[in-house]
Amino acid sequence: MRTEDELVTALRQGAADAPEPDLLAGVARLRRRRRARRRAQLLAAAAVVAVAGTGTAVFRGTAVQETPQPLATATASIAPVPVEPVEAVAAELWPEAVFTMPARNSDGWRYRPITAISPTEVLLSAESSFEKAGKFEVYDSRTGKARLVAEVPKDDRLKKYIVQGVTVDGANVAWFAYGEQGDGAQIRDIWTVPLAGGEARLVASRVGQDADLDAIGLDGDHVVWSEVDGGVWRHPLGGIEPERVPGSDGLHLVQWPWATDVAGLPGDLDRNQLRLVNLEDGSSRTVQPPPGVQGMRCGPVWCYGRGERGTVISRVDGSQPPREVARGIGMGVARYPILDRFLAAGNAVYDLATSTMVSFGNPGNWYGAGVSSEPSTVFYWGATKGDKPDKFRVLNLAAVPPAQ
Amino acid sequence: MISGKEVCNSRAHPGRHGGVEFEDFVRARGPALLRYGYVLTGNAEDAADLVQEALLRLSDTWRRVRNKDNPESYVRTIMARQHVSWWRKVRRERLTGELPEGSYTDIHSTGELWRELATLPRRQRAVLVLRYYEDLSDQEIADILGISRGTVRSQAFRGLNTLRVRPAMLERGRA
Repeated sequence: MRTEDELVTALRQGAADAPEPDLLAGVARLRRRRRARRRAQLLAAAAVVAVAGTGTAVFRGTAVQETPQPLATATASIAPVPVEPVEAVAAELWPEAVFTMPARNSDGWRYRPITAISPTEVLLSAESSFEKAGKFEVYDSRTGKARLVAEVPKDDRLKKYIVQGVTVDGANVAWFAYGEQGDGAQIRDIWTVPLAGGEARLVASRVGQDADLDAIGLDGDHVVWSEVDGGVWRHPLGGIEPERVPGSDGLHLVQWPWATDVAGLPGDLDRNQLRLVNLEDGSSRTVQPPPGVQGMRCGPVWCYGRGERGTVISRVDGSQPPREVARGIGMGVARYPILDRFLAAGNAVYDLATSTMVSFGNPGNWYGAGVSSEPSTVFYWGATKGDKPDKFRVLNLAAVPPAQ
Repeated sequence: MISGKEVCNSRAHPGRHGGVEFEDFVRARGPALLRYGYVLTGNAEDAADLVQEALLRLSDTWRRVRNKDNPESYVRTIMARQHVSWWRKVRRERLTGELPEGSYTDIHSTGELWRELATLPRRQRAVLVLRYYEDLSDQEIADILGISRGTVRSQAFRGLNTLRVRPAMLERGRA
């Protein structure tokens, strides 16, 4: 046996090996990070409102094979204690999903990441000036090279012509561009181009009342879109006339084939989603928000909303009781779960599969989310401090390994 | 040695976080706080994080703490509580590559007993550190950690048992 004096001696001797960092510098650094985090969170909160007008939506689908089923009543009481998520840094937890890429293309135009198309490839727009998409390119983190997909056509007859919603599947890219005619009427042109590269082709032009689009998607050889007032349209890539998707009245495209009954307008942010509809087979799931929850949004698997004390997470099928996690989870530019697994969380993402909060490990005070119409699978930030870094660090959620 | 009280009786500069007074306090008491953090955590990086987090909180409330309490005991209490409860879980940033050159491995001078301390659950270790390094009474330890005196005793008993240290008495009063 040892004596207490030996323990005292061991502790005192151990203390002699304590580190001697510059504490004042360390405290200042912590303070800066805390401020930056708050700014980024405010920015993200503002972005929710700012992007809501264009009504971007939704979840990028891993194949969901679940058969539609009536929803179990998910109104069980919410677990009272907020779950403190485990913390991790993206590049350490998922090294294969974080890479560095140039912030500008070979023309010197700034890149704006859109979304991932594979675990190593990201679709980008290169902007000749702010929010003026000039080219679509694909950057491959495996080769470290970018390739041109298409030059973005301009229409000199229209004023304020800008690209808005962009979507991509494995074969094509489609987008809509907003413009104003000479008489002030708004127009939206819907374009498509093969992902392998080629010349952009005008699929349709929507004028006046029909031009208020809020989301776009691709369904094989059809392009689909929804209107701000609700309703989904489907247009053959080689065809002439669009057709209204049956049963889509009042619905907004999230990601084909999924649609929701809430628009992305600022006034709808507090509204709970009540339906999730599969437009392909017409099946529908009813969402039952737990009591006191606002702004409920659901993908095919997960739902989240704002509870009184934090973010409330539940499953669409009611198979797990709702649980409360830290406030701020689900706060960000993506309004629906990403890849049926992640929620934006300010300067971080929350992994629903493992209940892990994964921070970007961002040295600067801003971050961006990809701008695809469906919930983007990429987040990016400057590799160095400052607003105009030479390189971006990119988190590609499509490259995150499956949860164990 | 300068005490925390003496330092905080110097000048105040409003407008900065804690001002010059706070900086003086950190310069004077920082090394001791780092030693305490190191004894609590057994790890150089965690010790620096723990002290810096606690100092950040102190700087936010410097004026109030200076006027009402002893800043050093305030920081030490925060450190102990953070260490046993939520600190590691909610810490959002990792401070990496910021420590000075030097060896902080646990292998020299402290021996087997120091190494074995690393195997204790966090709260047991904290109780032993407060008892045998900070030389506090069980009631003071109970107040700091927000647990009962009986829990302090049982935690200490288990920790000492693991370390094969024979307790001289069941409960320690003021040393």
